[in-house]
Amino acid sequence: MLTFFIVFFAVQFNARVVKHQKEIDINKEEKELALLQATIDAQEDERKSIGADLHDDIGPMLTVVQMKLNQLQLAVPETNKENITEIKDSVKEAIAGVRGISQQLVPAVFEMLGLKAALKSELPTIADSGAINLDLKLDFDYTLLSTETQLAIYRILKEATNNVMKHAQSRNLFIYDEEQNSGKMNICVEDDGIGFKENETDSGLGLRNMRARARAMGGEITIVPRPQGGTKLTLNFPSSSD
Amino acid sequence: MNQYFENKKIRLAIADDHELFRSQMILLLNSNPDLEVVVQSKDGQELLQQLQTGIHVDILLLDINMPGKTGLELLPILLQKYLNLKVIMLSMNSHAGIVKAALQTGASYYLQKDIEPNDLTETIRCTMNSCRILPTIGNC
Repeated sequence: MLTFFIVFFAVQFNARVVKHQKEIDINKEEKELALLQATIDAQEDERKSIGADLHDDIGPMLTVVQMKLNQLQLAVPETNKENITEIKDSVKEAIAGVRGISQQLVPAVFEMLGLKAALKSELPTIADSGAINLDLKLDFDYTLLSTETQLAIYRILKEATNNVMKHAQSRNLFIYDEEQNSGKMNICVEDDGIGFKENETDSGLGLRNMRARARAMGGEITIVPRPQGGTKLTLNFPSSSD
Repeated sequence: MNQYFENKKIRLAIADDHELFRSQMILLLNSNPDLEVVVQSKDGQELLQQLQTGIHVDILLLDINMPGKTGLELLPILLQKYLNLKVIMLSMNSHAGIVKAALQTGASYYLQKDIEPNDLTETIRCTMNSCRILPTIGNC
C-alpha cells in the first residue's frame, strides 16, 4: 500500500514538473516572439523616421535650392548661366536620390492605398526590371489582418520578388494565395528558374529577415524545389489577427 | 505667355506643409502676370476653412503628404464640394500607384515638386484651358 502511494505521488509530481516545464517553454517562446516583434517594430519605426525626415525636410529643402537657382539663373550674365545649369543638374540628381531612398524606407503606396494596391503596383515594376512575366493573384481580404502583419507580408513579398529577379534567372513568376483549413493562409511565390542549393535557403541577410518577419507574425516560410523546375516559396500565416 | 487670359488672372491656391517651399512657390507663381496666389495653407483643415469663406479659386496645387488628411484623402472631398475647382497634385513622391490613384480620383495633373518653373506654369495654364500637354510633364 505504501509502495502504491509512493509511486502514485511520484507520478503526480513528475506530471506537474513536465507541465511546469511546458509552461516555461511556452512562456519562453512567447517572450522570444514578443522580442522579435519588438525588434522588427523598432526597425520599422526607425525607417519611418529617417524616411519622413528625407521626404519632409531634405527633399523640399533641395527643391527650394533648385527654385532659388532658377531665379539666380535669370539674373546672372549669360557666361554664368551654364555653371548654374551644372549646379541645378547636381541638385536634381540629389533630389532623385533622396526620393529613391525615402521610397525604399517608407512604403508610401502601402500606407496610402493598402497592401493589395501596393503589391499590384510595385511587384510588376520589379518583375519588369528583370524582364520576368508576373502572374499575380491575391484574393484574400488582407484588411482583416493587423497593419503590422500586412506590412510584414509586403516586405516579405517584395524581398522574395527581388530575389527571384536577381538570382533565379527565371522567365515566369507566379504569386498567389490559398486559404488553408484551420485558420491559416498560404502565399506562394513560384518561379521557373534555376532553383537553389540546399544551404542557400538559410543563408543571406534577406532570407533571414524574411524568416524573422514570418515568425514574428506567427507564421513560417518554407522553400522547396518545384517538380517542373524552379523554386516555390510558401509563406504560411494565421488568417486573422486575433 | 498671356495668350490664354488677357484680362483675367488665374486664381491659385496652394496647400503644402513645408513653409519655405510654399513661400518660394508663391514667389515663383506671382512673378507671372497671369497668375495670382489667393489662398495658401499648411494643411487640409486650413485649406477647407479658407475655401469656405467663399473665395474663388480656379486651380489648387495640393501636396500629398500633409499633417491631418493627406492630399489623396482631401481630393474627393474638394472636388465634390467645389465643382469648378481643378486640382494639380504636387509631391516629392512619384510612385505610379499613387499617381494613378490621384488621377483616377479626379486630379488634373500629378507633378513632382522639382518640376521646371516653365513646365509648371504651362501646366497651370493648360489645366485652366483644359488642353492636353506632353505626358513627360507628369500626367499619366
